[in-house]
Amino acid sequence: MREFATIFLALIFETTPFLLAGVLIATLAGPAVERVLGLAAFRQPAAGMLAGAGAGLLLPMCDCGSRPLAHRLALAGRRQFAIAFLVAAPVVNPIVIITTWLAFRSAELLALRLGLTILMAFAVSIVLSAFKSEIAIPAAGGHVHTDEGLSQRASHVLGEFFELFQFLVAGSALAALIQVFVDTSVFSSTQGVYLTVIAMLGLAFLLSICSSVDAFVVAGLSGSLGMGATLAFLTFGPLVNLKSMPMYLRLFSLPAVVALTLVVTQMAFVGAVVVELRGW
Amino acid sequence: MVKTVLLALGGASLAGLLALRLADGSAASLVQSWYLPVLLASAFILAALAAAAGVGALRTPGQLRIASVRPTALLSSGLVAAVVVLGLAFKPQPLGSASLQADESGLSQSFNFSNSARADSDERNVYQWAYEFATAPPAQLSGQSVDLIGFVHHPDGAPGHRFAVARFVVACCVADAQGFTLPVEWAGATTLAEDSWIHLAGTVEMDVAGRPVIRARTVDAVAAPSNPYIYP
Repeated sequence: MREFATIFLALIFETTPFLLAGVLIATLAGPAVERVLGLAAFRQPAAGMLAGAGAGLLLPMCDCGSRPLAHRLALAGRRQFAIAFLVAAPVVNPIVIITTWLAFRSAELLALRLGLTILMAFAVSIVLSAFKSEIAIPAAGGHVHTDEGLSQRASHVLGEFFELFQFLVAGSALAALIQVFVDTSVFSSTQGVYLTVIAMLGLAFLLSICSSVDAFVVAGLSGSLGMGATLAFLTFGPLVNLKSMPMYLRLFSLPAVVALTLVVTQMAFVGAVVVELRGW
Repeated sequence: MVKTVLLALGGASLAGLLALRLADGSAASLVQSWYLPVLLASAFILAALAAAAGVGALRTPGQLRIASVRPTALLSSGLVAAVVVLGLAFKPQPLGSASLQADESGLSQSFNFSNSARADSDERNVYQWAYEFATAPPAQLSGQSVDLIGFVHHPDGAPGHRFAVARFVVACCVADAQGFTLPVEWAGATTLAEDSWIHLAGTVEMDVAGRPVIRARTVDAVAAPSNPYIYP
């Protein structure tokens, strides 16, 4: 119980600032971003998608922080941008680029991680843009209106924060349980290209805690892993993991979350196997 | 607005928990030291939001009706309360030997040591020594002097004069902690309590099996360092 409490509290302490920053940025910068996206240049779906995939470089947030803004923009009808941002931002941002470099010192792996994630962002964005139904679930409290008083705005920000915080609590509790009770060495001892990649996808789902540091986690596991299996962890983990799933399901419709998960899983698997068997 | 009152209470209690664990220093057992100011800023922002929301709700007391609370709001408040209660009940402590996994004997781990392993032998920590033990030719290590701080672990089945000195390496928060241990030979090994912190000085020598081991010259009990983990 003590070990569970320690790991659980560590996850909560670690992620609370990011979630708070994400909610504040979505509230404060959201209207400005919506206005920029309203410019003629971004009305082209392709332009919106490209901008979304690269926006993480300007709005440096890791996975928990980027979701409130992506959700807000999806609700506002900027679906291409919002989905590309949702998928790309956890990896395509300065913090994650630096930590990936520090953990591996491999320009090739860094380029592969960024490249595969951007391809995933395009693919998920294209697939979800074809959905006819609304993909974003409206927020319970509605969005902050600019004519509100300070205390109402504060209460809205807190409302949105705790709305997501409860899913963070559920995800962190699951992740802490896994760490205490499941022997993950089973995943890192598999043989063969395909099985190893699948095992790393499973491990990433269980272990990927926060995209800004998961490079260190996998570096710790993977001295003996090939580049493909490492890439599988680094591209799949930030998007699909125990902690992110409850939050996705709160923000986006079930079909949208299923489609995102399927596309990301397939692309991570194929990308990792191609890299693992590469001829270059 | 009961909902606003609940939100203000939630924000205030979460801010209070963060502030308490920062004030008593135990937050350092959970996250990296550079992250502590970030936590402090978050506590301030949460407290300010809670204060602003709370003041607004108290100005309109006529709307305080329990009936207006949705069941999901109660569930959500319960989860927040559970986090705060857990955070108050368990004062975070540094991970101890119970969290060392059997296969993490330091040598078998193929940890990526990045760039931190280049230091003079006197200044190497447990993590850097574990790297040297795992990679350098034993003959080259023999005779090098060791001076480090760690906690005591008695591996199962270890002979009476042997114990292990251990540290956890944490990349971000303790959820990614990995334990590293080094074998030590010292006549008084059995007098050392599991998980107690020691300052150890000695030299690296070869044991009968030809593996490197630290032969301790002095072992002094010390207080747990304010920063119990090593950051790569």
